[in-house]
Amino acid sequence: MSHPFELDIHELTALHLEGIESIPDNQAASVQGGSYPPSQTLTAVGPNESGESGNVTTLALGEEGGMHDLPTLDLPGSYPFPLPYPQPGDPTATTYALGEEGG
Amino acid sequence: MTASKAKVLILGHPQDAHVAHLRSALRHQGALVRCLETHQFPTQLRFSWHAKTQKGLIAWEPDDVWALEEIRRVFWRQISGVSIPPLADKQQQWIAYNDSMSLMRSLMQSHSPQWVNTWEAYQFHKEKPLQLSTVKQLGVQIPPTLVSNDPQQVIAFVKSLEQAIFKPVYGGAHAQWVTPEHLDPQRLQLALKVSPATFQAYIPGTNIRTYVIGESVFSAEIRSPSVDFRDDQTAELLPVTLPGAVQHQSLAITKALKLKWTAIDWRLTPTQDYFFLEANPSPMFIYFEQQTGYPITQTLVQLLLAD
Repeated sequence: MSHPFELDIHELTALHLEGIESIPDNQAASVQGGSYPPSQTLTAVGPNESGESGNVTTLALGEEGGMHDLPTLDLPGSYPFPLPYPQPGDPTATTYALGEEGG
Repeated sequence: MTASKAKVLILGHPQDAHVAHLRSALRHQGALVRCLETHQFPTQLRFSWHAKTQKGLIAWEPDDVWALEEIRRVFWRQISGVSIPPLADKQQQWIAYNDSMSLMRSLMQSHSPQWVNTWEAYQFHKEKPLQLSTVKQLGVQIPPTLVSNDPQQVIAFVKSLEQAIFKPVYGGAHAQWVTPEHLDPQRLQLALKVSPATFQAYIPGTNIRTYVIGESVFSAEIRSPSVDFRDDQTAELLPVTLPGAVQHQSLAITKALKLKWTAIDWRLTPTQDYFFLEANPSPMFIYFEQQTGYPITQTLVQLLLAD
């Protein structure tokens, strides 16, 4: 396996990375849908004096501090994921092998 | 060591060469050994956790259940996540994924003294840049290192070095030389939008790999002209004895990285300076053992079966 830092200019250009840029807040606000959880999460915390404002505390989702995305959707073969596969069976190759991270 | 009837769980796939090897060695000592393939949870495996009593159960079948407290050790070879059946409602699928991971992670951390290595060590290893700094704070030498996706920083850093390599921040690919082509501004700009990488000074010299198992330390030189010896199928392995100070450093690194066993990779310079490269939480050892004659398996089995 090779690191993406090895991608050549043609492979990288084909990704159209140059087109990725931030958009102004007013444009971003007009974009509907997409991110989950819904908007109450942004306001759903504590009393006003806490500085966090909002009055929908009991409806609050997304307080786990994790991602909003659904990563399993974008991964190949969402079931089963991750694909269970053993390490190469040839023990003579073990010092050359990758996969010592335990994951 | 009272191996008879000791229950040992191996986290990993039964066909993995190291899982199969260790399972056989443990069984030879009379231990009861099972493999835990986490991707079978929750569809095939059943986990239970009683929060009040901190008692956990793993059930392969209704009449085939291991209580966590009965397990002598859990050997971490490889975690394979959890597998959630595809659901029409992707939000439900996300909840199922998080719920499954949450229970599995709770079980894995509830009896951490049993684990070789622990969830904590595995997680810490995911933050390799931080690990490197932790090791540096022990007084161990590390190569000049930059982890970045900022082209300006990368160019300035690489130009400050005689020879530079790049490698993954976390893992999964071999180290490579940084070439002028890599630093082409247009290419670099785009490549670093895909991922950061670790850039490091190339340390001339040879490779040393040190296995630490509990308090035991085994080292060998891995002679290879390759920038990453794992890439070299002709590398020679020669047993060596570390200087006392480096031996102590190896034990200190293992402890600081919350590991109970590990393989530490060093670069040894012609001036006999040791530079730490990394320490892995699930090192492969069969070939190393065959080539050096070190009793890695035996020492590991002793660690896993110790009272």
